[in-house]
Amino acid sequence: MHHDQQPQGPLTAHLVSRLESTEALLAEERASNQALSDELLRLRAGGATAAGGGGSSDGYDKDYDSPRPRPNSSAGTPVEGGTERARRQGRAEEERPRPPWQNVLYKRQPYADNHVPGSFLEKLVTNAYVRQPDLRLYVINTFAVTQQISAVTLFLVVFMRTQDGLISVGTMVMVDLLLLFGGYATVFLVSPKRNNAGISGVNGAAPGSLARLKGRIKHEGDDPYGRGGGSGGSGGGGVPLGNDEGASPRTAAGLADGNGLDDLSLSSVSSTLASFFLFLAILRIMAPVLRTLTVSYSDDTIYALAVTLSFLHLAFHDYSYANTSSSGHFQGTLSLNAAIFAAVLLASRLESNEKVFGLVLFALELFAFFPLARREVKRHSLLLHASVTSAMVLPTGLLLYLRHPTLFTAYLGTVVLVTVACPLWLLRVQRYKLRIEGPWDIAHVEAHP
Amino acid sequence: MRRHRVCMVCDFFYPRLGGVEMHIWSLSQCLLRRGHRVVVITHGYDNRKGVRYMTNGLKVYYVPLVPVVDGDCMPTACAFFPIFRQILIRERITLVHGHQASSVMSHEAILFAKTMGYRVAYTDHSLFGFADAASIHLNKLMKFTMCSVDHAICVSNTCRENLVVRATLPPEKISTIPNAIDPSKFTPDPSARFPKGTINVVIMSRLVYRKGIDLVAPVVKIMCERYPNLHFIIGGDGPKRLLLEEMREKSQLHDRVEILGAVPHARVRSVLVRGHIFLNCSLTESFCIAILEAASCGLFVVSTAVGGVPEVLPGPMIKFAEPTVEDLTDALSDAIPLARKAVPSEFHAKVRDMYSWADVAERTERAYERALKAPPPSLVRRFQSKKPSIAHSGWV
Repeated sequence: MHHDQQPQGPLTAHLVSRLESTEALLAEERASNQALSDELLRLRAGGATAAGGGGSSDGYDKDYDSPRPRPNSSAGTPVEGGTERARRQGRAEEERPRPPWQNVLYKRQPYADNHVPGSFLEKLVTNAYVRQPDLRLYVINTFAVTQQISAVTLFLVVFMRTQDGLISVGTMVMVDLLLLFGGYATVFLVSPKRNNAGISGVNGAAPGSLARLKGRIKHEGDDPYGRGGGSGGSGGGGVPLGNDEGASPRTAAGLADGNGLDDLSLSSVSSTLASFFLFLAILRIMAPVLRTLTVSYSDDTIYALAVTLSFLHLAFHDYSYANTSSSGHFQGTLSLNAAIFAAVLLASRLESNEKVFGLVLFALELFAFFPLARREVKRHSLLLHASVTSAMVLPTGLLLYLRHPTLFTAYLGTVVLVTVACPLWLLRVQRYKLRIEGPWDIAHVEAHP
Repeated sequence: MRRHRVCMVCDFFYPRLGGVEMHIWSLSQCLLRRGHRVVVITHGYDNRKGVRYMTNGLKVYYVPLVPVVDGDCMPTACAFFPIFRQILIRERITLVHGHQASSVMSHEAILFAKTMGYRVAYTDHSLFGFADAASIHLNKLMKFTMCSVDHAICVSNTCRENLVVRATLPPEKISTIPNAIDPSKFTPDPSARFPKGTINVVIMSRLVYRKGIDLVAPVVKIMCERYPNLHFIIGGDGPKRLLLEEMREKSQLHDRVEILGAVPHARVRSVLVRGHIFLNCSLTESFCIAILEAASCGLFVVSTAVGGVPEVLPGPMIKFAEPTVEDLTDALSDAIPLARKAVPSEFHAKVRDMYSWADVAERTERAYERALKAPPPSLVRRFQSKKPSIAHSGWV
C-alpha cells in the first residue's frame, strides 16, 4: 500500500496531516489491541491507493456489472445478452476510461455497488477537538478532592483528640474563632471585585484591595444580584445556621449560592457580626440538647454511622464547585447534610457542653464555610490554592500520625493515590481515546432567540 | 439466473408503517415478482400472530416473541433459535437477510443462521454516532454480529462509511443500494395546490428533535414575517408539536400555518400535492425518503445537508442548507423563485427514472450473489474476528 495521493487544497492537506498525526498515534496503540484503529488505518491506506491508481487493481470491482440503461442515465450502453454484454462492456472498459465516481445515488454509475472510491472515509475526522492532556491541570484539579478528604480526616482526628482530652475547650474555641476570622479575612482579600453587571468568574489580576473596598462601598445597597432575604429560614441544610457573611440569617446551603461572599461592605460586616453572635448563642444554648441527643445509643452505632456518613459526604461532595468549573451554585446539599449529621452524632459523644459547642462549630466551619473560601482562593491564585492544600494535609497528617499511625498510613496512601497516581493513570488512558466524527453525526442546533 | 429462497428477519414489519417496514415490504414484493421465494419473520403484534399471507403470496411468520421497548424484543439468548431453525428448514431457505441495527431479532437471526451455515445478508437503514452511550453499546454489538455477515447493504454512501467504521467491516463487503419509492403512489397534481395564490411550504415528519423541529419553529416565524404570501402546512405529530403551536400562538399565524397532526400514510400524497416547496430540517438522516416522495409529487425541496441527504437528489431539484436558522431561511428565500419555475410533471418523471423498487431488487440480487460467492469463514476464523472487538464475547 503506497500513498501517492496528492493534497489538492488546504482542506485535503489538513486532512492528510490529521491522518498522519493520527497514524502516529495509532501506531502506538496497535500493540494494545485496538482493532478499530487498525481497521481505520487499513481502510485509509486502501482508499488512498484506489485513488492514486485510479484503476481497479485491488479487485474491488471484480463483480462489477454494467448499469441498466435508463433514459437519463449517463452511461447508456446497448444491452443484448448476459455474456455478450459483459464482454462488450469489458472491451469498452479498456478503451475509454470510466467517468469519475460521484457520491450520488440518483445516477447509475458504471461502478459496482460495492466499489470503494478514493474519497472513501474522507470526511472521517478522528480526535479533532481533543485537547492535549496536561498533567499539571489534572494534579491541580485533584486538590479539591485532597482538601475534602483532609477536611473529613481533620475533623475525625480533632474529635478523637477532644475525646481523649488532649484538646481543651479554650483551645478549641480559640481555633474556631481564629479559623473563622482568618477565613473571612482571606475571602475578603482574595475575592474578585464584582460590579453591577454581575460578571462572575473574574479570574485575572486582582486590583488593590482598597480600590475594591471603595467599589463595594459605592455599590452598597444596590443589591445587584437580587438576593433579598427570601432564602432565609429554610434551605437544603435543614439545620438552622447563622450566616457569617450575609445580612440575614440563612442556611448554609442558602449561603452557598456563590453570591454569599459578594457583599463585603462595612455595614454588612457589622450586621454579619451581629447575626454571627446570635448564631453562636443559639448553638451554645442548644449544646446540652445535642450532647444528650444520642445517649441511648451505643458508641459502636454512632461511630459506624459517622464513618458511613463521612464516606457519603466525600462521595457526594460538589468538587466542581470548589474547582470553580461549575456555575457557582453549590450542589452538595446531600453531602453537607451528611457531614453535619456526622458532626452532631460525634459531638453527642463528648462529655461537656462547651466541647460539643466547639466541635459543632468546627464542623460547620470546615464543611459549610470552608469550601466557599477555598473556591475564592482558587479563583484568586493557583499557588495559594496549592498552599492551602498543603496547609490542610500537613497538620492533618501530623495529628493523625500522633493519634493513629496505621490510619496515618492509609491517609497518606489515599492522598498520594488521589494527587499522583490517579492523574498519571488518567494521562495514560488518554491515549486510548478515539473520538470519531463524520457526516453521520447529529447536527447541533443552537438556541435561537 | 439463480432463484434464491430468502428469509427476511426484522423486528419491524407490518402492521407498523415506517421506513424500514416499507423497505422490507417493497423489496420482498419485487423479489417475489422476480421469481424468488421470500418469507418474512417478525414478532407477533397484538392479535396478529402465526403465519399470514400478504400480497403475492408473501409469507409472514409472526413468531411468539413479546416486544418490550419501541417494538423491539428482549434478547432471547437461545429461545428464538428452535423456531427460527424450524422455519429455515421448512421453507428450504438459502439466504437469511436481517434488517436494521436496532432490531434484536435481526442480530440473533444473523448469529443463528451463520452458525447453521446459511449465507447471511444484512441491510442497515440508519446512521449512528460514536459519542452517546446507546450508540457505543450498539456499535459493540454490531462488531460482534457483523463479522458473521457475508454481505451488507447500506441505503446511502454515508451510511456505508458509517457502517464500515462502526462494524469494522471491509468496505468491499458492503454495497450501497438506495431506497426507492413507488412513484405511482406519489403523482403530482398542481391543481390541488391549496390555498391558491400563495406559495405553500409543506413540512412532513415526526415532530421530534432529530427531525430539526427546533429549527422549523424560528424558520417558519422569520419566513412568515419576510414573505406575506407564504403558507405553511405542517404534517406529523410528536413531542415537539408543542413548540410549533407555541410559535404559531405567539406570532398570531393561525391563518398562515396549518398544523395537521398525524397524517396516515395513505393520505400523505394528498397533503404533499398542496405545496410548492417541501422543507426538510432533519439533523441526521441516512437516506430521507420523505424528500423523494415530495419531489415525486412535484415539489421543490429545501433540505439540510446532513448525512446521506446530499446524495439523494440532483442539484436542480433541491436546495441545500446548513442546519442553522439563517442558512435555512436564506435557502428557502432562494427556493421561492425556483419553485415557481419548477414543472411538477418533470420532477415526477425524473424521480421515476432515478429510483424504482425493481431496480433496488435487481441490485439486491447482485448483493445476494456476492454473499453467496464470499468464501465461507471457518468457525475458528469467526472466533478470531470476534475476539479483538470485545474481549471475551468471541468465545461465548
